[in-house]
Amino acid sequence: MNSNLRPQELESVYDALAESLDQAGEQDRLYLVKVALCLANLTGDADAVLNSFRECLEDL
Amino acid sequence: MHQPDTTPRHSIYYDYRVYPFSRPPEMDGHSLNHQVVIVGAGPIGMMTALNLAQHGIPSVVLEADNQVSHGSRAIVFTRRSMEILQQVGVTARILEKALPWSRGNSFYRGQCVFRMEAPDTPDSRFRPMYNLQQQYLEEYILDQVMHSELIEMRWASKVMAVEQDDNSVHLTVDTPEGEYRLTSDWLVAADGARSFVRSALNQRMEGASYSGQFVIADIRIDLDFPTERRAYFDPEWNPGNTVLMHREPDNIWRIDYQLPQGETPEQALSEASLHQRINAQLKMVGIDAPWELDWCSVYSARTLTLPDYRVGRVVFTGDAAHILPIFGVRGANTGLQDCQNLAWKLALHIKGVAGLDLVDSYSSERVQAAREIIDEAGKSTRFMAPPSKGYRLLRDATLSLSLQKDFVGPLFHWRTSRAHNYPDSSLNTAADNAVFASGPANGMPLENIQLSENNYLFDHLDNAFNLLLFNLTPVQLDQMQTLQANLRAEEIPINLLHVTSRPAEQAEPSVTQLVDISGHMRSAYGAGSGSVYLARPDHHVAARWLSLDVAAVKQAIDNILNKA
Ligand SMILES: Cc1cc2nc3c(=O)[nH]c(=O)nc-3n(C[C@H](O)[C@H](O)[C@H](O)COP(=O)(O)OP(=O)(O)OC[C@H]3O[C@@H](n4cnc5c(N)ncnc54)[C@H](O)[C@@H]3O)c2cc1C
Repeated sequence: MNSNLRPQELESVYDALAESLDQAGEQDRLYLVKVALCLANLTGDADAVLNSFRECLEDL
Repeated sequence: MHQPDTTPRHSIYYDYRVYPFSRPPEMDGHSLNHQVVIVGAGPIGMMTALNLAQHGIPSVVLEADNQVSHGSRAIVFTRRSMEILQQVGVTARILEKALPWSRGNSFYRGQCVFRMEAPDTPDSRFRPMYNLQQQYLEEYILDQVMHSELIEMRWASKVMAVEQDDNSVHLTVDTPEGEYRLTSDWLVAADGARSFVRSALNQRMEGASYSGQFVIADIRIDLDFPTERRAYFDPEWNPGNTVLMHREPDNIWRIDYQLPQGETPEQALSEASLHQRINAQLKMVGIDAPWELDWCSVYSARTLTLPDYRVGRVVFTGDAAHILPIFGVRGANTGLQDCQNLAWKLALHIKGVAGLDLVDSYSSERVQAAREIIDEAGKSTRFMAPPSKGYRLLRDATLSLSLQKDFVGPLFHWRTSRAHNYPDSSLNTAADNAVFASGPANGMPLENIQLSENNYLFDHLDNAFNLLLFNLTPVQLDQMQTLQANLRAEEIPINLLHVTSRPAEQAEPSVTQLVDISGHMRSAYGAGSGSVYLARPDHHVAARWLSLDVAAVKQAIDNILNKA
């Protein structure tokens, strides 16, 4: 899988996620988990997904 | 003095019978040495006794109570359980009463978000699942027990102390007429989840307990829903929790729901609370009909097992050996597999035909099964009753996604009790196992086959080593009969089943002929002419050969009996 977004794409993902989180309001956590599950399914690569889960736990 | 209540329990559909205490010979100064004493006449204790009796081993069953199960408790029995029950002859009555089913539905916000169908096959006499109240199951098993001359039921007999030495187990039993002592070579502890024997021997279980508590209520109501499992997630009247509904015979429905945190079982079982919640659930599914409560109880989900099911001359089985969450109908169904695994091994050991290793293989095979079940059951439990913030978020996200995304469907899978495999059992012999193209592999139970109308492979299996022989020549069949005669002379029970496409007009008396003209069974078993399957008395395959080698068959049986 090509895991890199072009800078422009990354920027629009950034904005869209921020706005969706605002829109989700109190349900932002639930929303993030839904997103994580959907994206995990889209990658079809469980190892990469689990690896991201580990990496994101760092520096919280 | 131990005197259980002698009034029949109340039920709106089941007529409880009180079984009388009768004074045992030990109380009149006779000292008898029993081969096997079983503590507990729940389904698993009684099934152990029936199974032992099929091997000619007598047993005494001590039961503290004097009636069958209080309330329905286990209500779902799997196909594998039916095969085990068929072996001791109780399925005919179950089939008259029980409700067969195979589908499960998960509902969220009024929508059926996941529907599952357990695979069915015309090759089985039994459907994937049957609903029947535990009282009926126990009654049918008990009827069979009463017909056996080898089983002595002792009601109102409560075990108060257990001690053992190298040769025997000594029990103190309390009864309505006082205490007595009893000695046995072996003790089977089938005394349930709160096993007295387990605590008396200081045996500790390993595993986890979940904090969620659940109400089980059985009500009588006229409902039009089919017999299918119905799970309702996050219903409006019980936010965040799960409600299950299941049909039982006699117009009884089980409603099962989680308690809000912090509520005590007493509060949850109060009449007002039950009525309010059951009515809320019925209203949600669009039902406005009168109903009547039969029985209710509170339970919590636990996944615990003893690490070893044999402690000296005491063997644990059923709930005494492990406590499993009831999601996935595991309690009774697992116990049935336990006692079927145990009985033939203990019987052959007692007869002097097999070493102690065979009894220990019961422990290793079934502890392993319990651990697998605990793993699977843990998954279901974490979905039904999330134990932490993280699990709750994931469960809620899955529910939310389920309204639009099919990919989350499998997360709703309820992982029903299944037949366990023993692929790594020391009782297996590799032989040609790996090269068969199809059929049950080493460690798996045999697969049923429909041979003709109302005639199935399992109808012909004995509580013995079952050898499936495919299209043998007359000379080969002769050799197998010689082997059979030699083994029987050593008290090793053996059943020859000749699966043939050329049925003999005059069948050999010591061979069961299974006619397979179409070759359906041959192909399901990946067998050619001369192929052989060796199945243990509990139906699990121990070895298979593409072509017959009589000496190898004998050696595989010796390996099981640890005589190699
Ligand atoms: C509330 C509840 C709901 C359940 N629901 C389900 C379900 O929906 N599905 C499912 O599969 N399973 C269910 N189970 C579990 C299921 O009922 C058990 O797994 C099953 O009964 C186990 O059978 P058993 O023979 O091992 O133990 P039990 O049926 O518990 O039998 C043990 C017997 O030992 C006797 N005994 C105990 N101590 C002594 C003593 N000191 N001396 C002599 N006798 C003694 C007891 O009186 C009892 O008769 C439920 C259990 C409970 C408690």
